Amino acid sequence: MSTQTRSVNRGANPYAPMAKQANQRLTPQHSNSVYQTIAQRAGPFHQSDTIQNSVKILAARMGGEKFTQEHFGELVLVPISLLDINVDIQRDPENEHQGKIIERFDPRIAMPVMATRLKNDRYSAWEGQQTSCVLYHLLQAGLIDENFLVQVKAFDEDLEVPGSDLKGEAVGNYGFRQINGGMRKPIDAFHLHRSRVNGVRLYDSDFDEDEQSEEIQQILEANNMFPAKASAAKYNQATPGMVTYIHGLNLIAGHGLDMKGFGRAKQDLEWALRWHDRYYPNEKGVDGGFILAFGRLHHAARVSDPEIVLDRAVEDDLYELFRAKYGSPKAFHNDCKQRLKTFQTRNNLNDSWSDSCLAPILVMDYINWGGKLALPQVPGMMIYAGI
Amino acid sequence: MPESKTYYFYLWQHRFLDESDRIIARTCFGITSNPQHRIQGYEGHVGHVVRFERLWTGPERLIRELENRVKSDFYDHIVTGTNGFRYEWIREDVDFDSVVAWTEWEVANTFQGIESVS
Repeated sequence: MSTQTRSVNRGANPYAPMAKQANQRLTPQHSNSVYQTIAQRAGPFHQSDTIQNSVKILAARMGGEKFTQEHFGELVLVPISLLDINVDIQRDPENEHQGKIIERFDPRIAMPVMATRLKNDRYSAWEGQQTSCVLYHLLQAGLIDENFLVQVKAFDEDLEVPGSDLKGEAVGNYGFRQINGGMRKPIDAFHLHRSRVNGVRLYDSDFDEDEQSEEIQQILEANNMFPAKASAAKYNQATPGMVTYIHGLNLIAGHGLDMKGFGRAKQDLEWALRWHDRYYPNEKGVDGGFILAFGRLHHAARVSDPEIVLDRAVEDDLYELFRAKYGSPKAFHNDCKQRLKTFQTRNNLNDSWSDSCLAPILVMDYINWGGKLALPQVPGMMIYAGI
Repeated sequence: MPESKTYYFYLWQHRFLDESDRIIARTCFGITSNPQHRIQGYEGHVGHVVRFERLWTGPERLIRELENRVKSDFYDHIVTGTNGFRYEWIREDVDFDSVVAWTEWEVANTFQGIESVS
């Protein structure tokens, strides 16, 4: 039997267990594999240029001195009556924010208040105002023992440290914006999603936000997809089933609605991802614009009066439209971007992207292409007519 | 290049009870030049009639390459035995139909000299 030449330029096998592996890594199966020492965690990066350059900059500022234990201040337990808020440093008290904290309050996750110990032995809290106010409300409500003392990380107002001319409230003023701004990086959508999913899968959480994310994860898995950090898709590294637009998943699935509303909205995501898995399982990554367009199309169909069912015939027709006009979900997204830009240039409008054009373009293209099956009206069809 | 011998790539499922009396179904894969002889070998081990549910045939080189790809793509799902030895079995977390679909895709897109027998 003779061998024939085989092609090697064929893309990834859509049936490879890549998505399964990625989803398994999302939730570790063995608790002994989740712990790393600080040395294991930080060690691999210690010699990196980034860390070493930053260390050099700090060392130069410290002028050959070292930080001592005293420089870090101390953790003390303080009656709440000794806490003051420096209103020049702190932002306004946020009633609604405090209400949310109270609803979900758990003393184990309450952070220590950061404060300057003033010469009059009172504590000026420059970080932790909302926490302090919440503790006050809980004490007033009798939900905390009356002998309770607040955990405060404090330093004396005359304490000086190497490499800084700041003292007392000037440190607080600096610390306030550092902790709330530059030093604390917001959690990205992938890690937030993972935390919520594992809240349910590993830790039996019954918070709505966690259960909703876990259901979104189930929808991904049912469609051979997996969530990934945005960086995973850089430099053309996306693989079949990879979804980096987690915000789009949440948006379409109605994450954050009450459970009834979520139960309805998640059908939009299920339909969109199922379509992608059926017709484009081998695409390198699931395009974010596609998720929005198809999710919104299904939403519009679902809330139409009477409801329009996007059945298999419509799904097949949309696939034919994609084959005829775009070539792939990503190409559809790119085409929309280009057409919106051209439209804006032609009409002397500012050049700016808006994903609200995606679903209208999809529906209008279907009609102009000659599609005969019923699609719903979607918001924005008038705005983007003729695009 | 000399002609390659005719070989076979097979898939079959075996079901067993685990320690908690759950039914576990695992996919066995392998290559052979003589499917009937190989079936008898399995029957001798498991004690019941074995049937290769899917069988492909082609030149030995391609069949060996196909098997290598299975081992590579399903590496994290291969059954590991007592001494860390990796066997030609795929764990139950990948269902049989997925392995069949994977193989059909490989055959259709890469291995033009391989064809399905059953």
